Amino acid sequence: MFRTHRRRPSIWYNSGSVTLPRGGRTTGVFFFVARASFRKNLAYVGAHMANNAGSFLFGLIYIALWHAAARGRTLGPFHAHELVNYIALSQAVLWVSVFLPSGLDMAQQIRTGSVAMEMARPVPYVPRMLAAGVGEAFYNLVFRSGPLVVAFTLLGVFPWAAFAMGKGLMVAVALVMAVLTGVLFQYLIGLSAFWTVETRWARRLFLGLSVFMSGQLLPIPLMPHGLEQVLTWSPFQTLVSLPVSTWLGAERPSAWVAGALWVLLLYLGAYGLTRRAQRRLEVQGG
Amino acid sequence: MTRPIIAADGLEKTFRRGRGLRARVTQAVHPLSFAVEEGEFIGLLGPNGAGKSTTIKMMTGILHPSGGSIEVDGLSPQRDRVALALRLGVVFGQRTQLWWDLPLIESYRLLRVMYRVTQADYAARLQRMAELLDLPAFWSTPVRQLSLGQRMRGELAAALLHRPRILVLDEPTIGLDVTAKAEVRTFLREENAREGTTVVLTTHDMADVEELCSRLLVIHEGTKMFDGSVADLEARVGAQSALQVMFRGLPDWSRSELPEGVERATLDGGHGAFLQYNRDKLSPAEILMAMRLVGEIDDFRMEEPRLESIMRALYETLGAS
Amino acid sequence: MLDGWRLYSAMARMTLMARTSYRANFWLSLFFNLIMVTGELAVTLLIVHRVHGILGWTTYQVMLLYGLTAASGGVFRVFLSELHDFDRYLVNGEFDAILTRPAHTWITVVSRSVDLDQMGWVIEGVAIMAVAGSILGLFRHHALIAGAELAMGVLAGSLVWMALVTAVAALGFFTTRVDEMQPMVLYGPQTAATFPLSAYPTTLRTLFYTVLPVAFGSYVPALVVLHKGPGPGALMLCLGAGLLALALALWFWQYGVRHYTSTGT
Repeated sequence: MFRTHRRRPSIWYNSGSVTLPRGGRTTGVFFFVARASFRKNLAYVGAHMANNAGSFLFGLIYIALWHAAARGRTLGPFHAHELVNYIALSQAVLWVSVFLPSGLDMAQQIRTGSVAMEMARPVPYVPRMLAAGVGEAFYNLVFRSGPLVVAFTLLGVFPWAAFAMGKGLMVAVALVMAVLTGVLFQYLIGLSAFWTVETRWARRLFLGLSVFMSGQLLPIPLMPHGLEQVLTWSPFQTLVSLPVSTWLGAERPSAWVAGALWVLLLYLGAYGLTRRAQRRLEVQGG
Repeated sequence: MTRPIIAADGLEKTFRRGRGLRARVTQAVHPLSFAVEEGEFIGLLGPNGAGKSTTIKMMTGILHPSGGSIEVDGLSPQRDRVALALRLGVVFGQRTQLWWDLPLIESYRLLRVMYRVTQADYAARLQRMAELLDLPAFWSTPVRQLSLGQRMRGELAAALLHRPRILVLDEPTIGLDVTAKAEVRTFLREENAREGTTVVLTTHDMADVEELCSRLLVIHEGTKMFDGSVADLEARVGAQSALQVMFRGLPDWSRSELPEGVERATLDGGHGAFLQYNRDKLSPAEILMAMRLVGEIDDFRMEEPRLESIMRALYETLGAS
Repeated sequence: MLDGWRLYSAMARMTLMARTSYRANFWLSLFFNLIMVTGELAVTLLIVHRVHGILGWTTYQVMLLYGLTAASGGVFRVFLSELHDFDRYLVNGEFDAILTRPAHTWITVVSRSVDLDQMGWVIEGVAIMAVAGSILGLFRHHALIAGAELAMGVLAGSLVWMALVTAVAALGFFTTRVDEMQPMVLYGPQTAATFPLSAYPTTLRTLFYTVLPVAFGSYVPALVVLHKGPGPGALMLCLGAGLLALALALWFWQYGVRHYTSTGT
């Protein structure tokens, strides 16, 4: 089913207000899909700022905690002020990897049955939904992470000094991996609606595990030794720990390997499960 | 004369849409005054966006007026909201007041507690409702599984369980099939006649109005355009009758003028003509006489004045003004 | 008042009846809650453990504080779940129907559901307090007193959370986006309350004693239970502060209802 559609060039594709004219290239479609997701959020910038204030408060709480707790000491690879920086960075990164729209709105599609139509569109489904997720992440980068970075900079806790020029590319790559991992997780959460009634459990599980396993509040190197080993190889570390540690120059080579492996595995998983879901859809007749 | 049961005096409502610099103030209801006597069955009509729902929401205490005053059964819907709610029955056709996941009968048990109805009253009332609306056939089914017609019957019983003095209905027949509409209308007429319940109804179905309302209140852009009976409205707009004429050959319109009193003629360019005329000024016989000059008449059909076409004519003149 | 209670209990009974078909969900949610609570608790404790205690608070003392916050936070999630999820009332005008009911709007909304799925927070919170309290030896001599003090702490905390969740829902009458404001008014303060407030700078601390008065729901009661300063009388102060906060929140709610604009015209 997938393959037959792939061979045909795209004709019309509607996503939000974007209409791609006849003959659009497939790669172009993904850009338009991402841009549509970005734009649809623009209507809510005001409301999102209130949420940003909440994120800022979270950051303040943990910054104050580490400030009070570490006080001039060095813990693991981090000096006290670096732990404060770590929290500021982590709050900004969370928005592009962990706090993405739950299930990329796929649960809605699946519940209403419109997913059958969506899958029948002439652009492959998996990368298209991922593109939508990337668009969301990009919106978050500008309107969620952006204001937080400004606020933390004004507070004097954002580590601009640690950002050496040569490191820029590495940080960018780590961020892209964080976004991809986060989007893939949301895709799988959304897809779970094919087999379960509610996706909120999957969503809670993801959020619950990420609090502990992504290193968003407690850096992974500060965990007890055995745990540290396990968490370095989990897909959750890519979400926060990898980009933040890279920025602070404290990442390990194994973290890169684990991150890349998991992006690949999650993508294959998403692809395989989608095909199973499609087969299920065909059996049930939509 | 007794005190009106609903009295609006210079009632106004403005909405602020958007925020900051782009904020825009829209006036949904301009100063609006009207009075409803006890026991009346009044139709609140007007095109979409006329301010009907806003008026009803101010009447039931959902919205606070921006200006003027409204009094329902001697109470302010806003200040005495709870006291008034006990004397008010409300049905929103597009929204349910019942508990979605519970069998219908459970909703009634809850409403009994909520509206402080005694067991004896409740039993008597429910029995009457059950007979009139044939509720027992489906009242142990969860509300979400009911058909729209069944649900609306359930809603009506729910709104009337506590014997409200005033019943407010916002599009109660929307989406119902012909049989269900007829059932709902029969029930409402009966309730109004027997219990003397004052009823305020908004609808887009003119058959509802023709069959039920003793009085119409037409609003447009938040202002009162008409207040009176269906007959009064006909007199004002002109009783719009229609005559359809089919000619045997092609008519020659140069042979005769259209008689005075024909307000609109729709010619299909072939054998037919559709003439709308004011019945007070002209009889069908006079038109037919004139048409015989134009061509040989093969057949004709008369249409009686319908509220629907009267309202259309009224809305069109409103739109033109 | 009495009417409100009668209505509430009748509605709550109905809700529970309607939910019997979802029995399986209860255990499922308990399990997922357990994972979340464990994860959060583990991070909290590991931080304290890693730095060998924060400002004189040992790991188990912080654990007690966490249990207190989780249990009282669970109470509002169970009983005020409709307020927690208040957006839908505002977005599609469901609040219209609430306003045509002959009871206080807050009671009418709140009584529409009792979310037993969230009981996990209360159960786990109490269990955490029990474990931490036993390790700390709180129940060795005056077990009953310690238990009563903790119960009062949970009660005071519940009042504070009820006040906050009411206030943030009432903000929705002006902005219609309750979910976006919850992190600042609910989740942030809730996280803050799981650590000793003495760790925060003065501005934050003042905030938690005044506008977002979570101090009275966890930190101050914990100080009493752990004999870290204030005597048992402070618990009455906490209850009073909780009641005052709830009263203010309800006043704000009433004020907000006046500004409810429904949907459409």
